[in-house]
Amino acid sequence: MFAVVSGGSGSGKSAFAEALAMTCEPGRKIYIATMEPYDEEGKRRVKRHRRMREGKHFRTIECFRHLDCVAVEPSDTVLLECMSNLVAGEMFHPEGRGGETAQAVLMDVRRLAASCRNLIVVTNDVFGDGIEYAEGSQRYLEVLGEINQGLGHSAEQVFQVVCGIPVRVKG
Amino acid sequence: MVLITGGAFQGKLDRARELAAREDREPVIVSEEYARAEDIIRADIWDQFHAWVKRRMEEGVDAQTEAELAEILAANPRLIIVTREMGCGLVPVDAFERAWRERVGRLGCFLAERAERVYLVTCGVPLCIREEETPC
Repeated sequence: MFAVVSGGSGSGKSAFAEALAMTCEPGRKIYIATMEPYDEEGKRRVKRHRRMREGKHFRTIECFRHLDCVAVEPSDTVLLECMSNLVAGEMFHPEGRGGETAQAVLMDVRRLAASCRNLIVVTNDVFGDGIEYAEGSQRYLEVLGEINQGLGHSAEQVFQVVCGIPVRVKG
Repeated sequence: MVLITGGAFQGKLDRARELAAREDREPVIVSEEYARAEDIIRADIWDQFHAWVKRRMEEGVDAQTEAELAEILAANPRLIIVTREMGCGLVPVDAFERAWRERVGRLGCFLAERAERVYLVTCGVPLCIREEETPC
């Protein structure tokens, strides 16, 4: 199973994605954490997510870029959170994929989906504020949008979470 | 309680008015950011929920919000609450703006859990995304 979970900030998308992972077959549950905590607020976010996962038996792997370096087993259920941070890590970090981010990330995700039993990718709906940003941010929106479309195309299920409610838009 | 959410200028309040429509009188709408619980309890529609949350955060009284909401809902179980879907942009640079938009999102989840029905309004079209006990 390959599912994509999207939603805005505070929409409850993480809680839903975790619940979805818990309904999957027994086997290892791998959580790929992509947010690089730069400051206190980032650390608080990481702590909050760790608390949410407590007792759910996830094995956490931190991966801020180069998803191709993450090794999984064929019986694993993998929850990747969140695409928006991974894309920022690839685009803006000197060791990231830079201008090749969209193609590289989509290829990594497809490889990952093919090498585990269940893959759930959490992504972020950051496209709804109508603001025309400066070039770097605008380019980021374009790349994340392209990746989201690629994910939606490959995934069997796509959910948009609104107020904690998963709205099924595909599958 | 019915929760109506959606982006700005999508026709949320008009849909709320239709839901609240009755023959004997106009619906009572509360929409001030300073709306008091005693007024909300007597209202049919509570609009601009997100602005009310912002004001409470500015005043430092946000810690009691869930408890106060529970009291309001217990006293007025037929209330229609209109909130704004505001988490769908890039992360705001300002720390307060970040905290506010996340808080509005979390409180939206809190209200949705307690709602009989939840509507997402897009381009004026209300999509019922939850009906009590029977997901739609």
